[in-house]
Amino acid sequence: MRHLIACLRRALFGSHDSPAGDGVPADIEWKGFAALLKRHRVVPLVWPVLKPRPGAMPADVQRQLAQEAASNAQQALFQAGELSILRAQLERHGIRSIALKGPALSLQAYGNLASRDAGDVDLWVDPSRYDHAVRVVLEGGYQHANPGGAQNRVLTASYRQHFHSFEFRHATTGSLLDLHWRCAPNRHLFPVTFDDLWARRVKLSIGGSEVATLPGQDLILFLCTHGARNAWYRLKWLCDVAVLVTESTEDDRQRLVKRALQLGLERVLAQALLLSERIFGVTRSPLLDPRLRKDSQVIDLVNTAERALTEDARRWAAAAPLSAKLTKFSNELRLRKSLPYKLHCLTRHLLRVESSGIVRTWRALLPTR
Amino acid sequence: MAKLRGDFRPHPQVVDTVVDEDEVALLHLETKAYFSLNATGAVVWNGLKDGLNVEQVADRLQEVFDVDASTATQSVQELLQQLLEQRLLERND
Repeated sequence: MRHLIACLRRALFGSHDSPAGDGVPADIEWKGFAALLKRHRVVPLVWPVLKPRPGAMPADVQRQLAQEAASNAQQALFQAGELSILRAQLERHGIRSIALKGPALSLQAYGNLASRDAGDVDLWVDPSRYDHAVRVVLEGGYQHANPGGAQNRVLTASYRQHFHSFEFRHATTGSLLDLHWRCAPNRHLFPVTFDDLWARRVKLSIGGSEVATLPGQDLILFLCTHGARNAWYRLKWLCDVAVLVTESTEDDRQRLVKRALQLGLERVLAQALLLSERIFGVTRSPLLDPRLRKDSQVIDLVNTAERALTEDARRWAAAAPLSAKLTKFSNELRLRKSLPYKLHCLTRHLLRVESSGIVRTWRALLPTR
Repeated sequence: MAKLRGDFRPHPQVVDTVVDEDEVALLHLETKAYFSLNATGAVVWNGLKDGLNVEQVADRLQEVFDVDASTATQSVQELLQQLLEQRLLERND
């Protein structure tokens, strides 16, 4: 882990005055190291650091990493294309959409599509037009993936209450799309409306079309909430936030702290900044209220995240084993002070709303048409 | 083969990304043509993105790779031809 972090520091901050990594020793167990890169979804970031030292690693590991980086580049381009096409299709129907994470974030954080691990396309659409947006993507060749199969009203209503997106898979290309009606499963976690963000959207040019995405401080806070609700178990998420915060101006950082307070996300931001300090050794943020540094809830959140980084990733994935659910719940509960937020957490936990569990329950009760 | 002259630019429906620091991958969103450029091709592509004309791109290639003028011009011409065939480039009228 120490060597991985050193590589990431070099990849992320090498050109700045931040501490440079100390490299990877030749006698490292390379297969395990390659697996660690994959577990944290950071092959595209680390490969350019390792590439200049081809003799240092076994040929098969070198081939594997080069292949993964190349295949990620191809995937990133296809996703950018898919994002541009989907956005245009939705726009033709008068449906506004905002790109979350994915290709848009890769451009915002790294200025390059292939620098970030390409997962799926995440699009947040105008919630008042969500059903229409679903019809548009289905007509565009996508099929329901999670929950799969035909939907009924009760199932959809339940899903809409407890989750934040439906997942679709393209019938021919296999591309994955998360179509969001809100930013997070818990509607109180990131309390910003679509209309508010749309009014302040940032436009990126991708493949000759303009794609809307989140503006500066909201982008960072959204990423912090996403990382926090997953206990930051992948370094990829922390890299995104660390690089965006490091490259912000001092004024932007002040605005970030102010915005976090405004949205009640001070713990979430403090966790991300403290974790970045601990993991990457990035400069201490003088803007962080000293009381937050000593806040026991924040300290617990940072400690949980540090443990999650080294634990089996399956413990923190959507379908975590029962033994991990309580830790996840306790982590989630600490993120915000707000009572409605905590009540929503509790409801989700009591109903065991994890992944598509609730869908399976509803299916058992109500046959889909 | 007629020599290509003047200004060319990436087709608006092309997305590109840097791979391994010195290579570039291209995708045409409509035709789905995927193209991978090595370090030499990447210098040509980035030159065109920077608004250089064919002759200026060949000059840049000479500078970066320390090759003679005829080698640089030939490399640029061959690559332009391929990129045009794949509709990854268009003439800047």
